[in-house]
Amino acid sequence: MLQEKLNLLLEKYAVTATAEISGDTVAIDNTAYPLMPHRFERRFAELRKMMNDGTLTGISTIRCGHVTSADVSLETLIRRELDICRYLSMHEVASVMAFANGKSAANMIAVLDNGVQCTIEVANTLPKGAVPIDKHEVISARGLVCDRVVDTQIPQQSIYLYADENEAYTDVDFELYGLNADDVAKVRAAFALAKDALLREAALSDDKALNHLLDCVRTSISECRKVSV
Amino acid sequence: MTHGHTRKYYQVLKENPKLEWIAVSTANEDVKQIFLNSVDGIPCFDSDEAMLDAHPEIEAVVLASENSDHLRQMKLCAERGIHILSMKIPSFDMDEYDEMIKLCEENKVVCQVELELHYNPVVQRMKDIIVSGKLGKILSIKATNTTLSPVWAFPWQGVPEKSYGKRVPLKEGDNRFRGGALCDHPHIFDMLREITDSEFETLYASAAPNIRPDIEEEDMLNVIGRMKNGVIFSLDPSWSNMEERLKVPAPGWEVAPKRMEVNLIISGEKGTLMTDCFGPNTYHNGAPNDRYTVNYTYFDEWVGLIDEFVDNIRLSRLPKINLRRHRETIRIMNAVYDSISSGDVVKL
Repeated sequence: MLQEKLNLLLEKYAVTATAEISGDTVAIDNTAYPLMPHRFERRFAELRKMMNDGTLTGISTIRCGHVTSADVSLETLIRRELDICRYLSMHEVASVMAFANGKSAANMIAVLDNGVQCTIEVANTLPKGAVPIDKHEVISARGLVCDRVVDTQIPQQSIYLYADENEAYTDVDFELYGLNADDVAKVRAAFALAKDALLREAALSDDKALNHLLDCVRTSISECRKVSV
Repeated sequence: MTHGHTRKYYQVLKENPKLEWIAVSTANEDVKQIFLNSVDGIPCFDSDEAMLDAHPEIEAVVLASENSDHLRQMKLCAERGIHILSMKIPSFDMDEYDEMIKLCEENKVVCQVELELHYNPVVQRMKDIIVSGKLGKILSIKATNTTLSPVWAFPWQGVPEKSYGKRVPLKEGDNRFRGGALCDHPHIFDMLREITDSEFETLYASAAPNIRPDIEEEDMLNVIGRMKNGVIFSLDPSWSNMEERLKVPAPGWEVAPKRMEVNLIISGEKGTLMTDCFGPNTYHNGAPNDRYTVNYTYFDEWVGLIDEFVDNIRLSRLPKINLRRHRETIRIMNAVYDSISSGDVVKL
């Protein structure tokens, strides 16, 4: 289904590169690139825009929370949230201090190279099959931006069906209708990389930076100390 | 180029590889300056005729103009064999409307009416759930299509002759005229026809006191009634989301946190479906006004709409929302005004 939708975009927008999605990577003209789908979720693009177009000024703190079921590894969650902080702020992480409890929960403070502080709270303790719950909030002297509506704890959905079986849906992309929001982001990420050689180079570079960040987080957890990146 | 949707076309017209954006014509100097400040590299003309004369290669146009100008522009285009994407209200005058149908059919041009909710993924999901039978037989539908009022940015929408086509009092003893919020919100009337697969049978409408006492048209109204298949409905097509009086739409337009809401609650024999066609989003309380504000995040209806328009032209297809189909929606909206005027139920 993902490949089918990707092919649809490649054909519609006349992109000549070949692109094949497999797991968390896309092979473009036979070279594998890491997908970082969160960078192609529109909510993060909008948050980033508002952080940089004057809606917010005097940014102080980025708060990230993400809880999933156990089939998502803790390191996957940490890596994603660290990269969201990098993507939103357009700054690098300068230091990390993290605590973990086994392979199920971790809390962290990351400080960016411009002094902005990021808190990251992740866990994979939801029941099997549960829909992930996340929230991203940026606090500034001028106000805040957030991907969740005020006074709520869990993500809103576009549609709620109350019937024999209750269901909820959030459809975010008409061209890719039929995919959930996470899969839409994967296809959009793969399509963006297929279109743009510079983005492909950036993806490799970001992947390397994130691998190093994750090493720093492991060190911080195991040695119980703040690690400069 | 005086309609609120104009700006939403800019990106699609530039990015869709099936299109070559050739030119625009603007209604007046103010609109021209706004366009020139928004888009680079597209020739801008002061009259429709001058644009079409200078560019005989133009195959299709998007009419984004005041309602009172649509017949003239459709005639201009149809007689040249140019296909038309019409704004959501071709005309409220049914004789004029029929002339438009005749013009387009005789000249064999595609005329598609811009009802962008048909290309909204949430609406698509809602339709799929209804078709699946999970709700059972539909009993009742509550639908809102509320927005801020565009009259400060697009002044023609506040002029009854330009919005409704003529100056018709809302009702006896009322100093307001037809042409306000109702004229801006055909979507839910169309959507009811679509999802019930039925037509309006009876309706009753009432205009509430304006929340903007200084405009000439209605800004708050409610409509209830029954479809031919028995489904009852309650519709709110108001300008209930208060706005700052900006001359050019921009951040900070909102006073109410959300500038546009299309929500449906559908009650069926087997369950209830609740739909927010423009949510969830992202949110802020920063510049320019430091108010809690909904920042629209998923909003790409124009991509699918333009894709269909292009296919309709290339494949000589009748648009789903064609002039003949949409005529009934316009007739229903006129009936809403008739009910407000008479204070009685209108049978359709």
